[in-house]
Amino acid sequence: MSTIRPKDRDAVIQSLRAGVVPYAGQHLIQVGRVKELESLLKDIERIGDGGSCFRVVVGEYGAGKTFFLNLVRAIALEKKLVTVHADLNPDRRLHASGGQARSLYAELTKNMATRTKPEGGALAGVVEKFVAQAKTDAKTSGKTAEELIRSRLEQLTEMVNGYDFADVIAAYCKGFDDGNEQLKADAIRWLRGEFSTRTDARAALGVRTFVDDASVYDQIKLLARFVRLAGYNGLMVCLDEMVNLYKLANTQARNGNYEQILRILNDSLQGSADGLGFVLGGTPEFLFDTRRGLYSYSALQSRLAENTFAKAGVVDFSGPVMRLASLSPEDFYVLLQKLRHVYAAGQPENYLLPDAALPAFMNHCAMRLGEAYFRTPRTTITAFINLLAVLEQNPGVEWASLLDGIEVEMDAGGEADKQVDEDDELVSFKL
Amino acid sequence: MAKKKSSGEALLIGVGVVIAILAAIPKEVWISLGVLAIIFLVARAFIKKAETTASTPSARTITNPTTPRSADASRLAEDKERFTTIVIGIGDQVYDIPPPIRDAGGKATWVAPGKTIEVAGLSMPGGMFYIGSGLRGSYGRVEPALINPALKVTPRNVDISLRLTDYWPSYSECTPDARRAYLQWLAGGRRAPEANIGYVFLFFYGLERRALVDAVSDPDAQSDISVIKQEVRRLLSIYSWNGSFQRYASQFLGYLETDSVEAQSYKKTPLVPDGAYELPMRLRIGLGQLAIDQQPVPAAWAHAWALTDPSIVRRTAVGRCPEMFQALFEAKYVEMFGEGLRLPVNRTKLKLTYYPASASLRGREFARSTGDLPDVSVLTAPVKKLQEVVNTCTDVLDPYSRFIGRNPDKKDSLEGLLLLPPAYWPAPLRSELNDIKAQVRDGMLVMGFGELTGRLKSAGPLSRDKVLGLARALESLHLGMEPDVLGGQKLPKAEDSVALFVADPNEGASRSTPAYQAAVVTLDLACSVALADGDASGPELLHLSQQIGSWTHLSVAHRKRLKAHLRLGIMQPATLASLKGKLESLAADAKRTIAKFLAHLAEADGVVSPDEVKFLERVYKTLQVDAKLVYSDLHSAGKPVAVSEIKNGALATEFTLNPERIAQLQKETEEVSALLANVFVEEVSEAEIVPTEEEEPAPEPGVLGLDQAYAAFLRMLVSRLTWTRQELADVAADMELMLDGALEHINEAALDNYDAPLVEGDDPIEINQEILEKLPA
Repeated sequence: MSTIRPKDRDAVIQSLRAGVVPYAGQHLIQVGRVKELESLLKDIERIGDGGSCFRVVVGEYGAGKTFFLNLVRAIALEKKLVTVHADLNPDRRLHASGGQARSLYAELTKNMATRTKPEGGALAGVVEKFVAQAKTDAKTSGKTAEELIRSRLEQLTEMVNGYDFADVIAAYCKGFDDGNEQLKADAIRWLRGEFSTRTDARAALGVRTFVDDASVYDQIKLLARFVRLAGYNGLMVCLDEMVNLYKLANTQARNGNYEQILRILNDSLQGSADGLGFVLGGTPEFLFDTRRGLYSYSALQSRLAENTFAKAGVVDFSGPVMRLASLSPEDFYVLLQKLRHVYAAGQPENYLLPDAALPAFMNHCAMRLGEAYFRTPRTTITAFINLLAVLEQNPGVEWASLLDGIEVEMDAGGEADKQVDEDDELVSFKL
Repeated sequence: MAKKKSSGEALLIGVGVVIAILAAIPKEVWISLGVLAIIFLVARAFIKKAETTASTPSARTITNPTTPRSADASRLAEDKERFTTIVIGIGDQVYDIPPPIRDAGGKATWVAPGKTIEVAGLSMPGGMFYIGSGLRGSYGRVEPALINPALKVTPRNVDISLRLTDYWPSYSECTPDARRAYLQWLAGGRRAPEANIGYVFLFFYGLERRALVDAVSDPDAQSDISVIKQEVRRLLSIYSWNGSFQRYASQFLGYLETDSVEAQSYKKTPLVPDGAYELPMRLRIGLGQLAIDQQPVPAAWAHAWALTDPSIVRRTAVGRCPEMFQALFEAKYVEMFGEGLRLPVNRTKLKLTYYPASASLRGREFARSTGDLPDVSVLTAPVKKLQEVVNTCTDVLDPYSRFIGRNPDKKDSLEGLLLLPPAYWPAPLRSELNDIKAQVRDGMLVMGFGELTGRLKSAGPLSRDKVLGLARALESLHLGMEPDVLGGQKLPKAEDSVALFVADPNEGASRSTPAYQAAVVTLDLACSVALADGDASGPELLHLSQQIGSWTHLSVAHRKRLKAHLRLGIMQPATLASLKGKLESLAADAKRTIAKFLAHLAEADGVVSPDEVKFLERVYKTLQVDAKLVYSDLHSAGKPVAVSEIKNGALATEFTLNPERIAQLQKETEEVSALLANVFVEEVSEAEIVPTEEEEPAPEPGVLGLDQAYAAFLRMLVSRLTWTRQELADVAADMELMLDGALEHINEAALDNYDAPLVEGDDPIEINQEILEKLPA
């Protein structure tokens, strides 16, 4: 822990300065939330044992949902799970008829990550690992690699689209044997959901189906089984910005998506999905709004209802809904300490600010923003990193003199989440 | 020196005057002055400590002592002018505080090989290092191998086996103790085997710089390269126990040696370095040329390849008996592949790269192109074939190797050699065998078994399988041996006699026929019968011998063997009791069958002599069968049709054969042998000695617990620091691996072991050097 890898340091500092969540090295700046992480760790272990999990991480704007999701993802990778993640947006949803769901699937598989490829793009590696394993075993068992692949994928064939999935993997193997790069590329393309017509899929790979809007969740379940066959512990799906579903104007479209969520939830809680975990990140409105949120769908409401005993200091972290509390000023202080530590690459002698500067900085922010400075710490963190950057490049400058000049802006991004398109069923017109 | 003396005298006078003046001052003043002096002494000690980091220069070349020294002297004199002279009241000491040395030692120079240099009182023969100051490497660091004589060195001796340097040793940055140890090692001729590897590396860095950097522009350095190669080879022979050094040094050598690549280098005999970390460059070049020229790989090259390819599993036998392995390998190779394997021209191109160990050259890649030679080391098919050859050879060698492993002193003894095919026996043993064969000639040689094994340099009593091996070896020389151990008979003891005779080359397999077995039993019976009256009379022996001669249903070879058997049977009658015992357990009708058979046998030649009848009577008695039956049996065997003519008293008889009777005889023979089969089972062979302390029977798991294919890929992977994706895809295709899958696999193993991936990036693909350092060589 004493030294911090330069790669991690840069990843953390760069992204925080830009106001986004870092991709790697989250553990360096994680503060508090021990209980939440503990229960997620248990979930990950359960997935590793062939179980499933479903969590809705709910938190206010800026509470650190995305950060938390990324941290969970990093932990999952470390525990030898394969992860896929994507942000929902108007063009990427769980259920749609215009290709938006396939687009979500394509995004998920594009971001498929393993421990060795945490930055994504691991799909080919996973497939090759499976095929290579089959080839190695084929040498000793005397069967051909294709036979072995077929027999291993047999358990997939009972699932929706399973036959074609097995065919595609076999095609990849064949492509390797024949040195046919095109076939390999087509197989990966199919797995990534980038075929959009049956004819294309058939011409390229000889399969009759492709990943379409309706089969996205089934395909994810297939992938979950497949990564286990390839020797990983399971699949973790992280979906962020669920509030985009809440913002859908069309009731039918919204309910279609909520139905998918219900299906996922049922599968997970009933245990019919093996080695598959879902973590969804969304704002409280997305969950609680009884008009447009998850609670508007009564089947979901009863399943996601909070434990009525968990009130006033008594907590229950085992339910499907996990509420992220906002940071406290103390948490924020520790966070600033950690940032300073990371910025100095883990060398206390390189600290750019003395301890006294941290409360002063917080005080300054509090004057400007009120308590929002620690509740939505994005802008304050950016300001702090900027301060450190200035101090680093101008060694002679006294920090106290800079403090007053720091502009900390109010982070108003949360307001946008609450904006919803008005129902488009009523169109206004003018004569 | 004179100058110093005169100024000293002047000071003495001054001190005298001062003392005279001070004599008048009271005691209290003296005390206070004393206190002041002590304070001054303390202050002086402090100043001196600060100065010692750069002590006086003490380096000088013995061969050329004048120039630097005179320069030093004049500068010292000049510095002297500015010395602070302190005069202390008590006594007459004068302290000079030396000024800091600004640039001691002058410019850095390379000490030519063979020159002797003295630094810090240690004289270091052999040269080949940099001395002086101001030599810089990359990143502006001081060249680590540079010996700066101005730096402080511990005056006393230091234990050089201790690790005093850090991972990247540097002369200018290590402790005075470490410097001392390094200089000690150099002074000792750079050969102390217990020296810490850090010092060897430190010296090696200098060689790297000279050969890789200086030699580019400097013709002197260019001419040093051959000496450097020699030196590295010498170091390698002493310090190859260190994996890291071995890797760097052998790669360095490989890089230097490929400086002059001649065409068709495969026409020469390949050099086989021991304990290679990867396939040596020279070998790769030769093999690459073979592939390009589409020439078959000669046996010697295949042998060198098999010895050095890291993906070939070589069992202990290869190292333990190298000459035998080589002979065996080349023979098998020729047997399996005729004039040799033909290599395909594969896609991976040979690139000679060397990544220096020295921190000052770190990050620089020294590469040399070889034209379009393919890199055969990534091929898997020929390696598999070679592995096959190696396996067959080691299978043959293994028993012998194990034997030597247990008894290192019995390398040439019969026991060990019996485990080898006779074709690979050493010459002395073979000539001894030929001697014996000459003695036997066409006749028969009876000798003690102990005598026989003694002539073949046996070290003691032989175990069962050894005796069998000996018999087999004799057989391969067309020498038969009685008792017939190969046929399942009792082993002879050392004091027992054995009969050697010239055997038919194709006799071997046919000995298990029932006819022969029955004849052996009969002969045993006959012997025992003949000996029943105390000793075998001449006529009896003659009769038996004639009997054997008359068993025309047996081949000539068998009859020859039977005669040898008879000879021994008479000489060693001990078997009588046991034979009787065995026969007694038979059922009465079985005995009857045997007796009948003997009668028929006696009658086989168509003539029943009275002697035979007498003989048979005794046999029947032995078998506890009614002797009267002899006659009816003889009679029932058929009418004595053949009329014998005794010509001129000769014993040989002429007769015609009756095929029917022969057929009947054969049938009976088979019945008898079936009966006897379970009686004459030889004692169960002693349990095979299971070698318990067996050396590595399974191939050791590869680096990081990867299997062989991936381990081979990994070795290829770490041979460079960066790869383009295309290059690596070619390598993977040649190795029949999937690139992404292989990288995933290797990275996972690296993460499991070192918590960081080994391979990073997509294109170019980079190797994480931190992990690389941790990989076992």
